[in-house]
Amino acid sequence: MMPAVPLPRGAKIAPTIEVKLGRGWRYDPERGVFTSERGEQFAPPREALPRTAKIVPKVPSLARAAPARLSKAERELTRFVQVVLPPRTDPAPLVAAIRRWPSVEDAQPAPKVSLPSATARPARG
Amino acid sequence: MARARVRHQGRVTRAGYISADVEAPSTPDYVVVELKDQAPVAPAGARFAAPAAAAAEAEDLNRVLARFSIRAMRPQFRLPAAALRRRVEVAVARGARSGARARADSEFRQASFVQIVPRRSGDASKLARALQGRPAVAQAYVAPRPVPAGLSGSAAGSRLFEPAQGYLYAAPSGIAAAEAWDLAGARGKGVTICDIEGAWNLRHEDLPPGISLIGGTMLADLGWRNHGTAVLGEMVSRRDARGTVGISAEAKAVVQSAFIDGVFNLAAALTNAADRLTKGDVILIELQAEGPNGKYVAMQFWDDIFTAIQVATERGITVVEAAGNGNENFGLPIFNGTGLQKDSGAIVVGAGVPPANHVDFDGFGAGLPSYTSLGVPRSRIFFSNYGKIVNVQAWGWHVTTLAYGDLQGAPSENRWYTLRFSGTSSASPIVTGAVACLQGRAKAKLGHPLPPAKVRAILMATGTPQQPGPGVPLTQHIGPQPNLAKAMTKV
Repeated sequence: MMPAVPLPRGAKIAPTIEVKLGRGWRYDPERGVFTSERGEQFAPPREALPRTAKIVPKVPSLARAAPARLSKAERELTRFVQVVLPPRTDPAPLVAAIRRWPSVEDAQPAPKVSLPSATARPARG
Repeated sequence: MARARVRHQGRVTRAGYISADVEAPSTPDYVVVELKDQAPVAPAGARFAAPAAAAAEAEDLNRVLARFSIRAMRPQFRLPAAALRRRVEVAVARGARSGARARADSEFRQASFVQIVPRRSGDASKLARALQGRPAVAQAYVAPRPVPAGLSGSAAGSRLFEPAQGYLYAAPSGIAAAEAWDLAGARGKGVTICDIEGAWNLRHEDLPPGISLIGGTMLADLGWRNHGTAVLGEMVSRRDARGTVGISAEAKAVVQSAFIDGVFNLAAALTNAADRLTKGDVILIELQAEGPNGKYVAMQFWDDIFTAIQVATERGITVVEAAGNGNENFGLPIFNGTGLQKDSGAIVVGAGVPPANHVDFDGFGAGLPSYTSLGVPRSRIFFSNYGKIVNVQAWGWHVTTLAYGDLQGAPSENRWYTLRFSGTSSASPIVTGAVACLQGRAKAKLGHPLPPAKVRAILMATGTPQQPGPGVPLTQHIGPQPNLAKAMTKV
């Protein structure tokens, strides 16, 4: 076992699917559709995701900005969206379906994050 | 030795708490030089002398001395001239027969130490630096100032733990921060550091007031809170007579949680931090996650995070990133084309073995018995990830800082301290502090900060090299340990 401090069990962190859009695609959160530079549109089918799931840009401030005002790296960052799932939803079965969406280049469950530390024994008052 | 009566009556000093009357010696600062075994030079009055064949070595040292006003030079152990001559004869013989064993008796050893007293105490550190690395010199350092051992650090209130912060001190053991601090700006003045993780105790007594959460939500968890507090302590703990001393104590710190609107979103955390910082500031990523082999890897493995790091660095903000504790080789084919084999612009930090490196507890289930040595100093610690993108290393074991309470416990966690903070977690803030010092110095000297790529290049080029160890060859690359004294010369 390598040193790590995992997320606390009680942490209220919703499961997510990390989605990279195909080049030229963006997500319009107000209309709930993906749009491409070539004028294509894709609305995810209602039954594809749990009812309370939502799709959000990973960096909302960049998603709102005009692409012409963004640097190359910033434009690249606007290709990433997150599918936020209801608590305790297993994202794995949904990932394969999302990968088949025409607007999507790749989809992955969120990384299992931890702190890169070996810890000392905690103090007792 | 001259003595002046300096009376202390229960007061806090820079060095610690003095709890009773003492008579402290008033001595000038001086430099101790240890000559190399094969160097046949010796002090003679206020100069170095040598036999004709080694005159160049003596002259090399005399040229350094000529740059300073020297009050006195003498053998450190006050040996007679005959003992110095005997040492020179042995050194000549050793130099003539490479590999010959010197008569390393106590007289020879003692005769290798020379005391040099500059007229101005302020010159001592400069003189020591100037002598370090000369061909005849094994080491040169400013002699420690004496403090009555039994009388400090025993008062009510927290003790001063700076002496346990070996990572602050001279290379090769530490990053030579303490040697650089006298330079204008070199404690991180004018630089803001943003630590990105999940929780902190911002009310800790040794943190400066005003550290703010600039985005995201803190996790309510003691383990994560201890971690964030320990990280901040290495970089910005207050420079006073209690607790620890931050590497870049004059830098401003802010914190950003990677948990935003109830989800983990490091890309947004990075971008939010970059929006609030300016050119010359520093972001620290104190997280890792499971990669495709089920081992922990650096966060830039994920495309969105890699790109967010690029966004920050192109704005002139240096990003420092923990390599992670997965014992993972980033050069494996499975990582081809991923962020673990590409340059994001970040400084990726591995965990190196510190000089004092014994496992003294079985705290993380690594299967090691207690009191096992971790290995050769500055070799890769067995858990550190490694590869071409890992740029530099720092202490990954037993770093003294805030939180946890194993060094000093108390009813309130605001007074907890540890001497066992470890992992790439403990290494990364050391490098982050070094970056802040370097940028503070650049701002003071040049009027502007350095580009992130230049900061990284300086730290890599001037650092103390990685060492191989049993089972951890140099091909398992984690890079050198920063040496701020050398790095500052490149600003």
